[in-house]
Amino acid sequence: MNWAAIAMGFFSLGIIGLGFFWVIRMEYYLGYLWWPYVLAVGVLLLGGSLFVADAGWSALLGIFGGSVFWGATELKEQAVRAEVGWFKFRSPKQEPPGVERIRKWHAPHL
Amino acid sequence: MQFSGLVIGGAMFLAIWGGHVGVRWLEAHSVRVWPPALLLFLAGTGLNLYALFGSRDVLPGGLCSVVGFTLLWDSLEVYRQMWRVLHSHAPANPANPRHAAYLAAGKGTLVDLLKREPQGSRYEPPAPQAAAPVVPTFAASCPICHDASCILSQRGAAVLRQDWNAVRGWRTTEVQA
Repeated sequence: MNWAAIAMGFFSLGIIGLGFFWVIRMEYYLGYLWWPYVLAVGVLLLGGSLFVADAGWSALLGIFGGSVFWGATELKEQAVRAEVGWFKFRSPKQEPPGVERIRKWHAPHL
Repeated sequence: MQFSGLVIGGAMFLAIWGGHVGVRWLEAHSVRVWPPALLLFLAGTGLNLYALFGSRDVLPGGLCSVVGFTLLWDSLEVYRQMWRVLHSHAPANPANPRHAAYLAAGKGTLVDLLKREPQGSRYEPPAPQAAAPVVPTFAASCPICHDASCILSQRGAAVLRQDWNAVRGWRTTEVQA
């Protein structure tokens, strides 16, 4: 029986659950405009998984990277949810470096 | 180079993406919620059983398990999506008799409040619509499950709009008949 595979599934479930938590907190304190940095961290983690020799550890890093990548796409929707009143809203927020350029980009969402 | 992480991480992201879009579509187009939820649950369980017994390698096993757990989560999300529609957090589909019943009962909205760019300030959503453009007529019992307490029945719709006089009146009519 391949228990390692099931452990990976549970890990992905936990990391998605953690993702909901950090997306809400990050949007509350920093705002959704940090999405390109979060996206870059996700890409770096996914890219880093290529250089981990062990397939299991590489898979865990890949799952973590995938969840961070997804979190970047969730930040914008979370910002709208907070503005509508479904979550706590905070203003002003900590603006990221290069905020004027980021404002011109279309934030991704699923 | 070790591609297991990239493949499994990428598959997880695509499964979440597909789940987000798929759950919204399934909930909006299903008259009953449990069949798509059951289908997703069975698919998720099947993939996890394959991961446990049918594979010995990290890549196929991990891939099946990660996608399988995402599908299991989606089976719960179908019910959460129904809650969102009922509470106007997601738009209702008036062509779906179940959603039409929500709208007729004064629940839900046709406006997608998430379909806008963040403004950086609070936003006051428009007041919920009092009635849907399509108002179905309700039979005494649900035409699908034949249950008199189903939301597609007269009494179910009255319960949804918390019109207890209508519920009582309908019951009285039933007794008199």
